[in-house]
Amino acid sequence: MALVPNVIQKASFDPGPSPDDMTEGLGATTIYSGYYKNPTRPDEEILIERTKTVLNQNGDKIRRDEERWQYDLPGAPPLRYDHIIYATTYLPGLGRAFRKVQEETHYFWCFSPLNDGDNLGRTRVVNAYVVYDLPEDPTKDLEFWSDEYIKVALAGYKPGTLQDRIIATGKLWSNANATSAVVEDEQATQASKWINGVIVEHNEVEEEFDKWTVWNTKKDALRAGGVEVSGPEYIRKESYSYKLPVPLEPPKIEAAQQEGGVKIEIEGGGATINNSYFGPSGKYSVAPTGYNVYRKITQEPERTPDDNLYDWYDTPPAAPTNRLILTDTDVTDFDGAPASPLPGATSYDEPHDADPEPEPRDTEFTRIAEVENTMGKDDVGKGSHIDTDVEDTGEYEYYATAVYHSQESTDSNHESVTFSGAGHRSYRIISKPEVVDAIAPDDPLLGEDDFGEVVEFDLPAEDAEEVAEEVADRQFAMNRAPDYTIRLTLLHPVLSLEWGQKIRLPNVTWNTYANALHLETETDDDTWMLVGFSKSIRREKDGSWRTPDTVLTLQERPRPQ
Amino acid sequence: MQYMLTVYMDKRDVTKWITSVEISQDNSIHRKFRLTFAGWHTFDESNRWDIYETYDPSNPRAEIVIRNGVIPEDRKRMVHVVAGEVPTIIAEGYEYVWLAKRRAPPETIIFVPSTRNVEQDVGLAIANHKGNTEIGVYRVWAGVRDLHTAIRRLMAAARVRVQIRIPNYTMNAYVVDPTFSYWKAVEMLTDPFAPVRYYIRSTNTLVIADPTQTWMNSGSILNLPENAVRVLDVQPQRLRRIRRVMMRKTQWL
Repeated sequence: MALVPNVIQKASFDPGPSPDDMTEGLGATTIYSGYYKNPTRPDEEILIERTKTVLNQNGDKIRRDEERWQYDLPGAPPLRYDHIIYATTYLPGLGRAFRKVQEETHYFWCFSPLNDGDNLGRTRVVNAYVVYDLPEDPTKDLEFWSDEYIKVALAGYKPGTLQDRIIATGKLWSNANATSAVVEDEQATQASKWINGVIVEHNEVEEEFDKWTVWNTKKDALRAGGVEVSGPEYIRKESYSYKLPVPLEPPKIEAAQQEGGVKIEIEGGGATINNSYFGPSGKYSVAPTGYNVYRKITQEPERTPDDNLYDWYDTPPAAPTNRLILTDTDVTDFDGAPASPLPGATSYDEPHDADPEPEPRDTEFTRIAEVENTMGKDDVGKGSHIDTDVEDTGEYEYYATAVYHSQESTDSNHESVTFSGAGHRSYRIISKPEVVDAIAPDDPLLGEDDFGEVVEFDLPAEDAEEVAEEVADRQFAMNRAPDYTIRLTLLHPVLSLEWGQKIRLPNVTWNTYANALHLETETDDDTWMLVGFSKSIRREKDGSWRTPDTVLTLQERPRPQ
Repeated sequence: MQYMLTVYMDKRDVTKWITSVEISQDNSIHRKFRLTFAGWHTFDESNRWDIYETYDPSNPRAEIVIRNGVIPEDRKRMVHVVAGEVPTIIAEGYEYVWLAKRRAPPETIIFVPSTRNVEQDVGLAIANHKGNTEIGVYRVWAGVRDLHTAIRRLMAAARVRVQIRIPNYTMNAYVVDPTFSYWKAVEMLTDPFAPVRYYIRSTNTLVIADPTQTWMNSGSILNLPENAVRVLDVQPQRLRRIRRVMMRKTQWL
């Protein structure tokens, strides 16, 4: 069943303010449009018919265009298009009147329902008035032995008949009017005739899996030559992704401090489409084309230009954080009432020096990077981004989304990172004829210049500058901050100790009562390295074994910058 | 569950003669052990000592603590006499890798990168050598083109496998200081990279790990529960603070 207009719009444009003496003048223009609107597609209006009428200033019709589209189903391509033109125009032999002058019809062939526009096969037929020039003296042209006739014949051409020559002068009514080829005179030797199929054009479209092949056949009766055939013309198909929204799943991210910034590693995301078309597994995985990385600054200290006086630092200077090995968790007296706090306790505050809360800066999530999927199309997607716009002791929250062309998935997991100044402080390398000299930047915490040891190495390296950089990297990293050494005395010996072993002290707590205070402490939860141990076992006189002491020496693992 | 140590001398169980064992390792690659004997025993530095530990009486050799331990000659007998008691003998020894640390080349070693122009390379190496000791008789090791090769050759001479995880570089001809042992030479060559050096006794491998890598993967991760710790001492320390690193270039023609 064909679609009929159910939404009618009528637009009228009033005539101009003053009449025009010299021309017909433009009067009212009326456009009547009929749309089909389906309740299931509220944003879509399908034009079914449109009539545009132009009047002159006297109220007479100048031109009228009628367009009609035929559809079978909403959303499907059209079946037929008609365009009929009425105009008030002078046609030789017919006079000036308002009449139908042209009729154009497109018949569409829609083999694949998702095609649109140029991809449709169609036949276009134009019926219109054609204006011909007639010879002033027909008998002269019938002269068989005229000079022109002989010349043409001797040149090897076959001269046309009179009828041929009249047909060759044909012009479409609109072209004839536009080129002033029409003489508005009853005596003029011109004629006009309604011709069916003045222009017949046929577009044949064959659909293949990756392209459409278009052949165009055109016959214009008013032009010299025969049937024009052009083609094949290939129209490459775009992916169907824009037609089929895929259920994109968010990726997973991991954020960690890295040299000079926070590295966000993104993995996964994309869509899995279930359809038996995709083989026995019935699944087709679509990897995302890229990722978007978003960041929110939870908290960030103010940046001052003093931090980078000499422009030596890639990132703001890395101040080693003062970490607590022991923290007081509770301070009460014997009765349980809060005792007067110790001056060294972390909870102690002077009464009048409360610091103002730092104002949060830009607390909204903003997109900081668009990352490409570095893996192949058939693999699990991966991407990474290093956020270098971070500040020491700043807190940042990240998430990412998977992107498939213009589609974007929902948020991934959120990761918060407190950037503890792990950015590396760049140093200067000066190459002299005999030595390579690497000079560390001033430690902003110390506030002193030229403080520290000078170490000298004698290395047989061929490329001394390059090796000096590697050496200076490590020397400055390892001798950066004070290390903590812990000695633990254990109650029992521990088996399979290895130098350099990773040791975790999840939580070591003590309860101590002293000076009417109850001190409860816990160690900072960190990872330590075993750098020494001693254990002993002793046989008592009764023959039993005693294990008095097992002492572990742990060192903070020197962390890379 | 009783903690047990089992002591073997030349593959013979001598635990019953021993009244006390102390095992310790400070910040070095080898372990030290100290044995207290209940009576007089004859042993010299040709004896090899193995010590095992366990919590399981049915499997007394569960974990190796010392493999092929050596008691050096100069301190092998220390007699402790208390009036009215049986005298005790205390012996202190080291792990076998300690011997490897003591091995030194008989002649001065000179590395040259290839077998061509050896005489010229040796001349350059000697010219660049900056030591107080005379070079004397030297032996040329050819084909040492980079740092890793040099370390491998030196540790192979000390009979220890080596795993190198520090950056490599192309070497010029080089004189190893004549007073250095193989181990000292390796230390000298790797010290600029501030590496973490440790010994894996099960495979007789010395690992030279890069300090900027995240972790070195030595042993398994040990989680210490809070009730296992009796005493905790914390001491902050800064070994040194480096301001400048200067590297002397080899003058290469």
